[in-house]
Amino acid sequence: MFIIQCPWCGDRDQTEFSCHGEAHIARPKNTESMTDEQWGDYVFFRSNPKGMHRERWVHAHGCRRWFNALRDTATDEIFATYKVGETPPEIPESSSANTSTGNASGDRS
Amino acid sequence: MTVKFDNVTPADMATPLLAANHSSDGLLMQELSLTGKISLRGDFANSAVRDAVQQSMSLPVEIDANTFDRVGDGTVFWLGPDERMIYSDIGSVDKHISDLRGKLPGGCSVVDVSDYYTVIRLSGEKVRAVLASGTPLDLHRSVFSKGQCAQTRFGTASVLLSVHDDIPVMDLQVRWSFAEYVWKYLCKVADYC
Ligand SMILES: [Zn+2]
Repeated sequence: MFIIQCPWCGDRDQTEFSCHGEAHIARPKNTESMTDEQWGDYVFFRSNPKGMHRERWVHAHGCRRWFNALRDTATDEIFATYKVGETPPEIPESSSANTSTGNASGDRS
Repeated sequence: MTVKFDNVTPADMATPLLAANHSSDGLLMQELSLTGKISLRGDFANSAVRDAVQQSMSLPVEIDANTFDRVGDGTVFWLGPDERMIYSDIGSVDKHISDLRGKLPGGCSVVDVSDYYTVIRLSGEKVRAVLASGTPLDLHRSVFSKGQCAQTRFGTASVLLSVHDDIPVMDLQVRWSFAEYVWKYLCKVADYC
């Protein structure tokens, strides 16, 4: 079982949360003048990296607040969670190799 | 039974489990009679919001995350940074709501949710074991004790759990339409705990 740290409620079980894809994608301001290709990029295309990924999560069964997480998509380790509006944490160096320092996830039993 | 709507008492009002109760070794479970419930949203860092709730209901709204506070017949639960649940006597909900709406500044929301939810009270030494069968929340008394509350899931239902006494006595608030599911789940696992 994964334990995820909600920035408001603290450590909670993974099954209380749901993930909603890449974070920090701002809606373009100039939607009137965008090409179809640019609009398609904004609506449909995501970075989908193998490795560190900033994502939007919601504490669905808990406080129902949205927050962001920094997760390694290869190891599933969550390195940090942070509130909307907070400065995103730096991506740790050699992240995929470093699996022992996560502060927001781990085996419960 | 004929219910006269001009003089309704909580005991007359329907609850989804019709006041079901369960008693077995080390466990008592009872659906409470209808409680007044108010969903309050606002910026609780704003002193005008805090003062309005204090004046209307004598309740503090600036409380720690995942705790609740009780003053008189009112109880205030932390649900989120800008969200509280307030319980009161069912008979005074309308008065409290118009009072709150009159006193609160703009940007706040006050909604009567008395019949969105019902509350099941659990007491006895087996409460933690029974609840642990359906929720991933850590219920150990060292981390979940009197005065604390938490929204979590029980089975697939979202619930609000609160600890009213370390005996323990816990309340489980669940949406009206999930009440039967949760009740049957609780009664089933009670046989095995
Ligand atoms: Zn939360």
